[in-house]
Amino acid sequence: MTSNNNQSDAELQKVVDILKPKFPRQPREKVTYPRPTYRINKPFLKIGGIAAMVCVCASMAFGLLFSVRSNAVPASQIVEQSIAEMSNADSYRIEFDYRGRISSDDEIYRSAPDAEMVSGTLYILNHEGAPLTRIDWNDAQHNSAIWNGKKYIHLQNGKVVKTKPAKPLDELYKLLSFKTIPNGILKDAVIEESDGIINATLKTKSSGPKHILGNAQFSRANKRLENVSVIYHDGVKDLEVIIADSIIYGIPLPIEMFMLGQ
Amino acid sequence: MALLKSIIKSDSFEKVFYEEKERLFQYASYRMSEIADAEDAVHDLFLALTAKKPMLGNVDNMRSYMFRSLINLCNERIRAKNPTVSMTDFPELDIQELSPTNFDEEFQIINRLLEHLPPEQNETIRLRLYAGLTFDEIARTTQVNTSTAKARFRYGIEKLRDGLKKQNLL
Repeated sequence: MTSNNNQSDAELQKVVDILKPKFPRQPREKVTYPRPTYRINKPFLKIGGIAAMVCVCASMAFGLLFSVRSNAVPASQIVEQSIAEMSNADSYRIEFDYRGRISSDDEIYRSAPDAEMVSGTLYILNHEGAPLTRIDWNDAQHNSAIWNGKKYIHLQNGKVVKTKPAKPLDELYKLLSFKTIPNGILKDAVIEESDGIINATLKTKSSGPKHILGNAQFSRANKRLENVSVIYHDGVKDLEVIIADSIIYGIPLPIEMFMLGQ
Repeated sequence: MALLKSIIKSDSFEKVFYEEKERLFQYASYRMSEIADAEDAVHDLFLALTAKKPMLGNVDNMRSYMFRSLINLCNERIRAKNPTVSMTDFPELDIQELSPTNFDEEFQIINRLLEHLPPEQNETIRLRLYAGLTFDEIARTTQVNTSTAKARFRYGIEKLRDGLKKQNLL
C-alpha cells in the first residue's frame, strides 16, 4: 500500500513538473504604473473618444461664438461654415500624433499615458452609405488597420497579417460628420480669437486637479478647422494625448486603398 | 472611523498591485499566447482598479480581488477572440512535447493539457503553478474553502496523470 502510494505521488509530481513554468516571460518593457490615471473611458482614450472631442470642440465653438466680436464676418459664421462643410464631406484625411502602445486591439495602438507618441493618418470614405476606414501608423512595421464594410484587415509592410469579418467602423465617421455628439461633455468652454485664429477650448469634468483639455483651432482666412489637440493634465504636468494638425475633408480617396488584402 | 478605514484600504490597492504585479503578469502570461495580450490584461486590471478606487474600501481581501479580476479580464479577452471554448478530449501527445525547449512550446503543451480539465480545476492549477498562490489564497480568490481548492488541484493533476499514463507518457 505504501509503495503504491509512493508511486502514485511520484506520478502526480511528474505531472506537476510537466506543468511547472520553465520559460517564464518578462514584460517587454518596464512599466512603472506611476500613479493612477484619470480616464474618461477605459482604455485611456479610444480613437472614437478623441474624434468626439474634435467634434465637441467644434460644435461648442459654433454654439458659443455669437457674442465674439470680430471683423466683417462674425467668428460664429466662420465656425458654422467650417462645421457645415466638414459634416457634409464624404471623405476625411487626418494626420495625427497619438500617445499609445502597440496592442492586440483592432486599431493596433492603444492609448497609454506612459507610452511614446506615434504618428498616423486616418482615412474615411463614405462609400454607398457605409464608411470605409483606414488607419496607417508610421511605425517600423508600417502597421495599417482597415475596415472596408465587410472585413477588418491588418497589414504590416503592405502584407495581410490578419483579416476577419467585420461590420463598418461607423463610429468615427458619424462623429466627424457631426451625426452624434456625446451628451454632457460641454463644460467650461473658453473661446478666444487672435490674429485670425479662433480657439475653442474644452475642459472635461473632474473631481480633482486631473482633467483633459481639448482644443479646436479654426482659421478665419481658410474657413476651416485647422487642428485639434487633446492634453491630459495629471495634476502636475501636461501630457499630449493626441494632436491632429492636418485635417482635410472632401478629397478624392481611391476605394482601392480600403480593399487591399481581398 | 469607518470612512477613515475605507480610505486607508482603498489607498493600499497600489501597494498590493506593486507587490503582486510579477505574479499577476505570470498568471496572464500563461493564459494569453501573445505577450502583448498578457501585458494588456495586467494594464487593464490596473485601470479597472483605478476607476473603482472609491469602492475598493469595501473589498475585504485586495489580493484575492485582484486575481479574481484578472481571471475575468483574461477570460473576456480569450472569449472575444474565441467565442466557443469547451473542454477538449485528452490530447494525443508524443514524448518530445513534454520537454519543451522554449516558451511557445511550453505554452502549447500546458494549454493543451489544461483545456482537458473542468474550468475550476484548470483555474486552480493555473493559480497555483503560474501565479504562485497558496491554497489559502486560491480559496479566497475562487471563493471556496481551502479543502476544496486543494481537492480541485489534486483531482486535476490526477486526471492529467491518468491521461498521460494511458499514452505511456509517464
